Amino acid sequence: MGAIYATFISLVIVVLENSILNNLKIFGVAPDFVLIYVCICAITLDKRASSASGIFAGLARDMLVGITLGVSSLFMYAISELYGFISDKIFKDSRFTIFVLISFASVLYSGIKLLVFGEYLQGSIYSILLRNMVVFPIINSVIALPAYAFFRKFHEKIKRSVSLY
Amino acid sequence: MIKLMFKKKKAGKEMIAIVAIAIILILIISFSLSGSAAARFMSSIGIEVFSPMEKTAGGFFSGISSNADGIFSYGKNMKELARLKKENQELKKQLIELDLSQEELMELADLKRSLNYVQSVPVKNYVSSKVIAKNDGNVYESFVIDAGSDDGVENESIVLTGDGLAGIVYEVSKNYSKAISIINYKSAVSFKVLRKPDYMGVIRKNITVDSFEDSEGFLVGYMFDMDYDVSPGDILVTSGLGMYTEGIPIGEIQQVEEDKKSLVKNVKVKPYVDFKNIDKVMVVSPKRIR
Repeated sequence: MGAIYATFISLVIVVLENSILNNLKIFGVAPDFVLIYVCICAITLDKRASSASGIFAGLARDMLVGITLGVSSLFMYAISELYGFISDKIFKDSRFTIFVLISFASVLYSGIKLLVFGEYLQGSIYSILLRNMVVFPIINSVIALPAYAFFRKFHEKIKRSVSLY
Repeated sequence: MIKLMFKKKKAGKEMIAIVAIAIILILIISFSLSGSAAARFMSSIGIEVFSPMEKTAGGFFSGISSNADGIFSYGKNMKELARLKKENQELKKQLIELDLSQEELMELADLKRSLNYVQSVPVKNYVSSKVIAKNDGNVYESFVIDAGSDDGVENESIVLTGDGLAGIVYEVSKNYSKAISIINYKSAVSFKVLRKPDYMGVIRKNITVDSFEDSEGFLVGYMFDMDYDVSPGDILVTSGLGMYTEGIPIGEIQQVEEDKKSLVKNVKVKPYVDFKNIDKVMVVSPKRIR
């Protein structure tokens, strides 16, 4: 049940991101709300729910606006498995932990995209690296802090309502 | 002991599931990279399912933002309206002049036919469409438009905006299509200089010119001959060679640099299309040789 909820929310975020949120750029960079949500799922929900949301959100993104099907999906799945694995071993109340985790995931995702879609890049290498490896992770991490506080409570509610059934 | 065995068994099952899912996803990636029909079919299903929702969400957002924009830029819009009215009058005059020269063109076309001249088919069929989704835009630019195979869009159809060449369609479903901008399209775009049609060149994705400082958002290409006298401000249009129909505006030369090693002249081109704000597009069938 938790997996269905998480997948549904992540798909809604994919749709909103492609149609609206990608137009809202901060310092020329669009925050990755799907990645943020998948990371939050991995930290706050069980492995099955976070993996499902990662796989389906990634696939939907690849189908809709991606060039190669499965790249985002594989990454989102890997990050949800990794963060799901360490979620019991981290201090979840610390904002710094969340900031670091989202930054790390963003740097990793940018790195993979630069490797896979490197041939599509234009501009000086410094501006590309600055935007993708510095600005993008910072913006994602800053947005993730209030999002984490909200979804943590929301996911707790989901868990409770699922356990009632 | 039993508990430990149960735990180990569970961990083993989890590991098998992780590996199986990873293998499936890697297979999907390899199918997609090889351009398999199954991957395309899967994509088209996704586009068909999600695009109507994106269209609704995007429409709602653009409705709100355009209304807000209209209120805040009333004075500016009135000036723009006056300018457009004037432009419209001038265009009407030009249209009349063009109609007059149409007859001469018909005569030339008859002559070409009688000589069995091989020519490309002029643009006749086009579909007007709206951009309903775009990617995150940090690495490459692709977008979804609300016209598909049912509307006559096919693979490699040319995507234009009112300003010029925008991109090319690379995936088509029944009612929607996915397009990629020329900034990020790997295939070359052949062009000619509008003021001097003999001066030709090509825009390529894999050209890096050190002296062209930050070329993000620009197109980079080269002229075929170093002796071509091109300068910043020259307008480039498609030459008609390759998949693009002749005469589509591409952009203006921003910077010229001679490459004495390769004996070519590199050009940095500012595209006419604002790739950050593509809203409405026109899709033209790919060029066919008759």
